[in-house]
Amino acid sequence: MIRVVALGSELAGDDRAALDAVRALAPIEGVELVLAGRPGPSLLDHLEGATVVLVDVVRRGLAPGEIVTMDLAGLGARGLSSGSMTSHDLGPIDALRLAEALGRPTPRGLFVGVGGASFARGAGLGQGVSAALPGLRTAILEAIAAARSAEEKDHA
Amino acid sequence: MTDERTYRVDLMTRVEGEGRFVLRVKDGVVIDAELSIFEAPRFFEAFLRGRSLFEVPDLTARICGICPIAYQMSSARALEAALGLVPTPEIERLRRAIYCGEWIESHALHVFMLHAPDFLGYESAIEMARDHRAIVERGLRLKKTGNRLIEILGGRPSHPVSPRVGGLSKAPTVAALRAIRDELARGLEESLETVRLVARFPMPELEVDYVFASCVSGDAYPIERGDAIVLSGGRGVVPVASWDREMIERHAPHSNALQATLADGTPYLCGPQARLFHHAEKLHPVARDAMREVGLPREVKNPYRSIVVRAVELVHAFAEALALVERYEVPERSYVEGPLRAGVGAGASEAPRGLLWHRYEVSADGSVVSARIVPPTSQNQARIEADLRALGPSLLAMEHGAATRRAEQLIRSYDPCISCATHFLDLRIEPTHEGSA
Repeated sequence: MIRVVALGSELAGDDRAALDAVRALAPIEGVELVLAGRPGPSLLDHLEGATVVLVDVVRRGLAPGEIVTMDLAGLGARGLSSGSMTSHDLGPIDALRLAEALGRPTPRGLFVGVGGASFARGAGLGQGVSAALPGLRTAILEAIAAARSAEEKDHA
Repeated sequence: MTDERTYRVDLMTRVEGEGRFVLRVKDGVVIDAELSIFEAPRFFEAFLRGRSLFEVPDLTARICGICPIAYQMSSARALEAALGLVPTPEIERLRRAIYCGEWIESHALHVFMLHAPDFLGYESAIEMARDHRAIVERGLRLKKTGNRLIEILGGRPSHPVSPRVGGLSKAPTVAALRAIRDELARGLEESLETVRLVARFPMPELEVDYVFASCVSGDAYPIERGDAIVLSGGRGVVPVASWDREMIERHAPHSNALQATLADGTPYLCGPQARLFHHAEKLHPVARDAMREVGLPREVKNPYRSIVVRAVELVHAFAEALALVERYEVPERSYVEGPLRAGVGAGASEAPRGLLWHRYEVSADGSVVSARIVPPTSQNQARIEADLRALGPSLLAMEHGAATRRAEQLIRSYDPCISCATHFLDLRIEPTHEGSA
């Protein structure tokens, strides 16, 4: 099974981009869409039992609206910290580190990130990120296809 | 030679908030203790004006990802007071059950993931997990059970959608709610083990004479409802509607959050220690037994020991939830309704970290005219600063790193809801003069 997990906050500017992008996806057979918000340590639960496409807003390191797709398991190897990588505590990197520390299987899947600029409370999406939403949806669909292909290879 | 030291805590910025703590000690005397925090509810007070009152519980739930139900419940109660609505006992039991879920997930998160690493000497739960896997797994398991209970009753494991003005939009079937019974029973056993575990933690020394403030909720240990607010030290009982006359909020120049004290300027403490002090005899018998077993008094003066109080409340929340689930019958109505009217209402409940008070004025067409939200961390902020001031002199004799950890550990003792980022505290001690650490 493939699970798309969107992180973010709906009332904090660009932080809602991942939630908006995933909410706009039409239902896809065999794909679970989860608007996880800010799950904290519960993110670990979302990473188990499925191939995951994790979508989040990157606070620093990407230009506003810039999109990146990378292997979920390789996130930590890039030497980035959650603080600089994502707008949420216990984001993908810390969740992976905690999973590893607990001896849990390495989560399988892809990370799709979009650069954000403003995280002010009450603000809407900034122009740069708003314009990137169609591209973000495309990146998510491509990640789902790649995840599905990887699953099929595993089963073959 | 003057010996002046600055102890500085930066609360790392996340979306939810940012803050800083500065403690300045000169020649052994604390000359400044300031906790500066950004506080989300202030934005919401303005944001809610003009909105339909029925939107308020959903919107205020977004203030916090850890305690959304507290915000939903206090706002719903205030609006029910304005409209003259009185939920049925069946609805109150549903509310208590979902609120137990929030206490479970929030207390488990704080005890195991945020506070325990301080006592066991780790930077974070991630580092702690390498050596204490079973402890961290237990915390995650208990938290998950709390989130599951919230999901069954609220529709989602976080930011639930069913709490509304008048009750819950939908009640679960008996089968759906009973499905979590065994998990709650296991959680109860594990929470008892948790009390035994944290009671063995070495406790730093600090004794404070607190004025405790907590909701009164009939004969029940206060969780989902505040009929009134009780203060210790012979200060009496205050009606919920009058709390804003007893408690005064001031703007502290160093912070963009308001700080609450009593009208005479006395800082007070709300949260687990306050609830235990006022209501220990109302705890579930299993939780009272746990208190006795570890020798926990009802008046806990050492703030570091709040981790044990929180663990006892974890037992209580599991025991309450289990009893509510076992006795559950689908209510005839899951919410009450009534005609709109212009009015003013105040409501309170006990968020995991303390008293959460809301007040709304609504117009005859059901829109919000004004909103006031006083969260527990705002009420505890002056008390935290006073406790840090009391701790200051004892830090001077300590090694630099140990002193910083001790101050940081104290801040965590209050489970401040600055944001989920609390466990990413970055604390620095900066020497400012010759002779400094």
